Amino acid sequence: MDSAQGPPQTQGGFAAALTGTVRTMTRNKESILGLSIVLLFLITAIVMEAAALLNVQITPYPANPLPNQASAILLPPSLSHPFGTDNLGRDVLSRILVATPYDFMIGFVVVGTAVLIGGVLGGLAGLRGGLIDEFLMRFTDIFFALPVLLIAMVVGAILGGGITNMSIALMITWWPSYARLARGESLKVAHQNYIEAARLSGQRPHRILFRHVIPNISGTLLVYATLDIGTVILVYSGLTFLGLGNRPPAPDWGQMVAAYNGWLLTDPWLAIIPGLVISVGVIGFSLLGDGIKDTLGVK
Amino acid sequence: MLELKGFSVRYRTARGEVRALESVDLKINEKEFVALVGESGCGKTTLGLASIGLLPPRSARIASGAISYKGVDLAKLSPNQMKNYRGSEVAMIFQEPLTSLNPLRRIGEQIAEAIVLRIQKRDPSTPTRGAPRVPGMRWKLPPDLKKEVETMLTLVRIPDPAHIIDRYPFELSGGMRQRAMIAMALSQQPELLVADEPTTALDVTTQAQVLRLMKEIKDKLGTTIMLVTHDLAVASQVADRVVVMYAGQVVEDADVREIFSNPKHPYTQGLLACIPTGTRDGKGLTPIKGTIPDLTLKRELCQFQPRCPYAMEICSRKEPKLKEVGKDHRAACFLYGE
Amino acid sequence: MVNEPLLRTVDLRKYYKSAKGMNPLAKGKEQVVRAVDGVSLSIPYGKTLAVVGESGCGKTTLARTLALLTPPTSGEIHFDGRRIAVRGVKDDEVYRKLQMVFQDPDSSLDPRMKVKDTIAEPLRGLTEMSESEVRSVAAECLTAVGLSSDFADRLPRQLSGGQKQRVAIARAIATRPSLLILDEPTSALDASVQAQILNLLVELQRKFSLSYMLITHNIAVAAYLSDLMAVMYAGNIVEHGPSSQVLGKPRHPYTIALMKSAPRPDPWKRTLLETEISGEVPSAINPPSGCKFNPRCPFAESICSVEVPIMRMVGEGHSAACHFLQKTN
Repeated sequence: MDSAQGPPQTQGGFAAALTGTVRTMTRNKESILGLSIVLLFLITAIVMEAAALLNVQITPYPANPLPNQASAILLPPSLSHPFGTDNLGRDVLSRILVATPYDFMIGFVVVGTAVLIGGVLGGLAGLRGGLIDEFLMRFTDIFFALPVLLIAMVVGAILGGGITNMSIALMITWWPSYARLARGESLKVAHQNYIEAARLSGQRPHRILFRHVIPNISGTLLVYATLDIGTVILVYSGLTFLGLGNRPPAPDWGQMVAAYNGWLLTDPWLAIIPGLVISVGVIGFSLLGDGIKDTLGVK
Repeated sequence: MLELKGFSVRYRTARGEVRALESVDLKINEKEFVALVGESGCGKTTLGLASIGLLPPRSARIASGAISYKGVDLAKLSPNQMKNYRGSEVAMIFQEPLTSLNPLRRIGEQIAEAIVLRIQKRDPSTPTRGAPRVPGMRWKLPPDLKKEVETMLTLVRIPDPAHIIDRYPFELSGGMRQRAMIAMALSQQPELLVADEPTTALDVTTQAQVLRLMKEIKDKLGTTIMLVTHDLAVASQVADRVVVMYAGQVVEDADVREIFSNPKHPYTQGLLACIPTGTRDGKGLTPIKGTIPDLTLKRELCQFQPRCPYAMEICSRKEPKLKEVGKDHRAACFLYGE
Repeated sequence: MVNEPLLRTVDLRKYYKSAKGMNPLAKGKEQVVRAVDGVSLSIPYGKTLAVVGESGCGKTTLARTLALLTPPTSGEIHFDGRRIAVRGVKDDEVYRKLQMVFQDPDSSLDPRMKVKDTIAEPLRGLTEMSESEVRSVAAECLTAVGLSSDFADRLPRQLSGGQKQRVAIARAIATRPSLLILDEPTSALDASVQAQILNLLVELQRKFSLSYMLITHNIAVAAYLSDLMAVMYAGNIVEHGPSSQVLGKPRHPYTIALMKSAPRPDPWKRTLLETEISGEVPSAINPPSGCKFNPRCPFAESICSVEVPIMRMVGEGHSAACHFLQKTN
């Protein structure tokens, strides 16, 4: 067909791709919802982190109050305590807000690192092929074989719990799938004529990798990453549930679900609300990812 | 035999309704070899699909007019009647045989399936003769059926038919697969064979073989052939009649020699001037300037007008209709009157 | 330098190792695909050589080997008086003078790069030009291929097939090469767009004194553009010479069949229906012995399956490789 029309695709440049897709995505109801949720969490996280750094309390009540600052215990949700209070009289809403930067950002950090490492290694493997491909993929396989939970527990045992150590554990186990994905996409790209044209233009392999391959596989990687962030949040909540995450009294969504488990029958809001927050966060990312996927026409 | 009157087809797409065919008037007579020629987007494939009732049901709709086969309006056929129509009256072969032949079944089995269908249509009580219920399982053909399959394969000049019966499509070359498809199509003894770009994906020498075969089928079996192609040169070598299409309309319709010696429509003339012949001279080829129009727009002008070197004032106001411009020669252009 | 051709190959061969060939049911042993099986050709300065053949004849492999995208298995390539593609020797500067245009316009351009950057890529990679020089040369190339300057900031998805091909051509001529290898440059285009591109190629050749090596299966296009023609079959050149000769008086039985099969827009001379050729192109792994065309040749005799024919002169600068040239006279 000799016409100039075609499906919307990623435009030149990663940043441009993002803004372009955001614009197109706002046509879709689900994407708008997803985008709104993610933005809401993001803004909350940034605000809360800033407050923490500046040592300012902006939540209605302190997240870790001293006994004399605490309110009455086990209050159900009300106007003054929208999410109620827990067994120590702490305002649940404030605790959730304070936990937001950690729980939310860990998704970004882990997936971001995974995309960077996996993207470059996989892209290189697909482009060069041969021995380099073999070597890189076997190296990837080693890390692929490590089970998330086991590594988390090992790291927890050696280095102790806490969000930094858990991030490391997750990063170690998360990047291999991106390497595989990047390699698959890179293989498709490597056979395109413009790569050969780049060779004919005197471009060296590493420049071809960064100028041609990486930009063209980043679309698919972006989609996967967005859908994945929700998963990381979920996994991390699981880890905190097991006690590997932030040590109490620092608030943490997963840890809250674990701790308030015992009151499920009498004061259900305590465990359900943090769980809901996690779910909404994951759903937000999933919707966002789907929206990006549809916009980019990536399968 | 096949007649289209004011036939219009529109597709529903994300960009709006695309007018793939607009008021097409066409008659295909028995035992004719007609070539439907046009560039991509002219609607020739849609016309081919409509002839066999294979327009995509959810996105395509017949906006007006009718297509009838031997006087029967195809749109009014019940699904059962359409089933009988397809295959035994009209058969179709496509451009890429790899996607039209089942890669999991052997060639012999696929042709046998078509033959059994033919027998069943004549005598509905015939059972499907031991065809395996599980797809992919080997079908041991009864000897009389096997013989019929071999006859079909010999008809399409496939060498060594006894062995080819047991081969899978991927084991054959492009030309052989195309011939196997023709054998399948002919197994139900259709009166009309619609071929949609059957040789575009083939090598030049293989193309020649397949086209020769199609001409033979017309001459020996009396099958009417409608060949859809973008290649005017191919049409000139095999067709009796050429129908030129542009932007969903028939713009010229004449005997093949007429078209080449006396092309009336400016688009046809342009197409002919594009064909590289001989070695380059100082003049160079004269391409048709411009691009094909947007088919979602309403038409109140000649679709070719923006690109036409002879465009007149009336061409941007009204759409020309097909009219007689010579013996058995029709063209849709205001150059020949209103 | 005047008598020395621009490009010359001597018994060029390119073999591939294939795990199981095309048939997954074949016994798993490594087999050798003889894609280019001894090709000797030459292209004079400023002329066009068309290499015609059908799929599987090795012409694309030949093109890629000559473009140094893949190293030859054996044989010599001489370019501009120098031997190139020698193991261990870098040939970076060759690319400044030798470029390629590919068949598929959609995959020839990086979908993420603007037109002006695509055209500038060889300038940035192969020359020491300053950024402003690069930009002005790229702009010149854009106009040279008939595109206005507003195309400079567009992306491939905003271009039609013909426009994409023009950009690919602009990129190829950016470093003012001497030789352009064109691999089926118009096969993916509509008839009218093809005509535009052919006109463009003729004009560019005149303007920049280019030599072309045109790879195609389309005889009409080859006839239109070329001065010299070489017919390729199963990895070998079976006939070559001035185009007018090869087209007008083909002597190799395969060339004769090919010319007859090529559809000509002439309803009065239906040569296509007269072709007697049968069979298929042979496999590159297990070609027939002797003359590779012998199983399909109407003139074949016993010697043809035993001895490979050598190139013999049949006219001025015109040769064919056949044992029985007298039969086609």
